Amino acid sequence: MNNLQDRTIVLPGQLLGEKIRCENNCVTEGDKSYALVKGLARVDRNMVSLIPMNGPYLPKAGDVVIGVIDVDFGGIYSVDINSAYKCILKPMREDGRGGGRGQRGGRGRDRGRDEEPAPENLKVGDVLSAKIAYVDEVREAKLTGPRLLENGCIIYVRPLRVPRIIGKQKSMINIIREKTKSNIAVGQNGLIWISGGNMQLAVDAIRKVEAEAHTSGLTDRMMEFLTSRSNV
Amino acid sequence: MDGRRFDELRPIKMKVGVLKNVQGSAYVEWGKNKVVAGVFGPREMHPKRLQNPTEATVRLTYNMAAFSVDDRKRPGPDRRSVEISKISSEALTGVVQVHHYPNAAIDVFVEVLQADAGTRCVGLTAASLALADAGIPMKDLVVACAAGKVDDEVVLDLMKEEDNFGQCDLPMAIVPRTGEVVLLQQDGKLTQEEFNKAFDMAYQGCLKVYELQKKALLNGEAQQ
Repeated sequence: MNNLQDRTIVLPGQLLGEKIRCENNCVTEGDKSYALVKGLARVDRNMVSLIPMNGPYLPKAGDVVIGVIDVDFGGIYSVDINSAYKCILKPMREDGRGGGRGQRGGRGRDRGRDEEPAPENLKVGDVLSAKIAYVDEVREAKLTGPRLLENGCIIYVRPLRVPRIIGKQKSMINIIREKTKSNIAVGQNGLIWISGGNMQLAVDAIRKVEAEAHTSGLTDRMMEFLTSRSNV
Repeated sequence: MDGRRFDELRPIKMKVGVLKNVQGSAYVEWGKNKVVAGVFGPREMHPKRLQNPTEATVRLTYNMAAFSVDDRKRPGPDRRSVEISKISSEALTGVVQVHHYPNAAIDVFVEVLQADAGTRCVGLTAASLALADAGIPMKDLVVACAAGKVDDEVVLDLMKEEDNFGQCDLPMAIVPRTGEVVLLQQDGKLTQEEFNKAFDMAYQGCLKVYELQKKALLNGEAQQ
């Protein structure tokens, strides 16, 4: 039995309903289900799922993240991805050994692995984008397919706002790229790397999307914003 | 002393999202108390030997500003603030879903800018608001309120003079959804009847503060 309307904002400890199925960020005690975070409740018949308003980033297999190398263990690197958990990166050597799964020049994201930086070319402080290959039970993750990002700056946004910054089929980020002429790489962990073009405008645009992520018609407004600012 | 009824709370004002460089924050004014709380984390636990591979550790740091009381308070941790930090951390650990973040630390910093009795209750209330603002999963908010005995009368929410010259102080923190008591201290003597009365009074006070907390989280701020 649901007590809730769809798209209601719920708070931690709020009753979501009795004898319902609940998906994320909820807890069921006996027949009753309660919210664990402040978020938007999506109700679909007997099913409630919660979209949190804010929250930390937890590494998930398949996510593309941006990180900074913070420790060099001699060819194996620890990468800070702005989470409670560090990631391990073991790049493939020139002779094709190491680097975990897959071979150079494979399919999908591994396609460009010929361009993957060799371990000797990486150093502490380097910024890179990489994919999370897998996450273990204590949430430590292993990275694959690193791509070195040079000569740019990193900004931080709330990780839960990242899907809005990317937009449907990358619509939002493509608009920003096009209008600012910047290279932008967005990590699921909330770190965004920007290089070249009108970087200040790109930062302002991303901050605006982050602040207004919950509103509708944002893509059109961003188009107007970027057009007016890029003409100045 | 300030014209309130025996079961009346001081005026309360709450605001969330007041700090910029933290995951979540809250500011609470409760009578003349002014407290700000900020949450960092979950983040990597240091020192690493304190990491718990099954769950996160919640660490609350309570600090009184040097200018928060009439006489200057010597800055830095002292016996009292270490005790309050410990009991408040334990109260919050009871509600935060620590098993979601193995090995991590969730740091809550509570700064008392102005003190006027009952700062541990205000600090804990602000800390739980800041945690909810940060999106840390919790089974419910923690809410705290004190009762006590002044002039042989059991009263709710003691102010500074009542606390200093009163006979007893009974701060309490609860988890309203389950009715669990996560903090209960007593400084002074009460008979069994007086204790029961003070306990009930503090519990009812907590429920009133809980309503304000919920309002503040939904609207950004709340006032009573």
